[in-house]
Amino acid sequence: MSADATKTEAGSQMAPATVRVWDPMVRIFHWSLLIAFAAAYISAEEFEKYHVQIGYVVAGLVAFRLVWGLIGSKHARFRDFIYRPSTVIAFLRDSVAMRAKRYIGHNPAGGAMVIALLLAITGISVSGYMMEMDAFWGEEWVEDLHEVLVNLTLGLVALHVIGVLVASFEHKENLIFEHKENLIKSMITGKKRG
Amino acid sequence: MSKEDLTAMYVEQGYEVKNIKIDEGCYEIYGFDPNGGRIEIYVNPVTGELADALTIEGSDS
Repeated sequence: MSADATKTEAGSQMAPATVRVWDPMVRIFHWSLLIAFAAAYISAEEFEKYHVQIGYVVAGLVAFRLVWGLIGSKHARFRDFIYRPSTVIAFLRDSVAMRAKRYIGHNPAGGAMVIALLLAITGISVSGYMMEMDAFWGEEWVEDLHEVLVNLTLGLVALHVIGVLVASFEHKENLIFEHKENLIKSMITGKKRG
Repeated sequence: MSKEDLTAMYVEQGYEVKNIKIDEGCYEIYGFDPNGGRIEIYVNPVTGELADALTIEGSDS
């Protein structure tokens, strides 16, 4: 039984109870990137041959997302979630105070996180490719850059997860179950409540 | 064996030595074999002999 049907039975006055936010490509991209990044991380030391191949998958996913940010559905587009730095900072302040505005698409901090992650992973991809080039073969600074960017990305991922949990918690403004905000579920089903 | 001696030893054999790192008690040489293929070889730090090698065929330059 779908979540929508459950809500109808529960007698919600809101119609429709949920809205489609994340298109299928955004969701497939999101979870594929997580899996590919984890696989790349695990394979880095012991399975170098696979590591390089997985790296190409990661780079391909990021390249796709950059294009999708221009031509994808409404909330997938960069112009939907790139906010001024001052707006991002104000949003973070409000979040700390637990009075941040709720956004249907990415909130300003979430949008900034998408950009930060895409930039960091692009940097990882480029430095990883350089490590395989004759011109940079054995160059320590390239390898160091690759690793620093990976660690930076792990930090961003941790902040991303915290941000998602905080926003989910904060906007659980109504205790009735069907009004609960679950951003993790949204990235699987693509839906949020309206 | 010093890095300089190691470099000299491998250059003598036709290799190009780009960088030598120390990894787990071994020297790790990054460079190119006489055919221009990329090499990543681990050598015994005392004798300079090959311990383990990773050769990547082909060259993109």
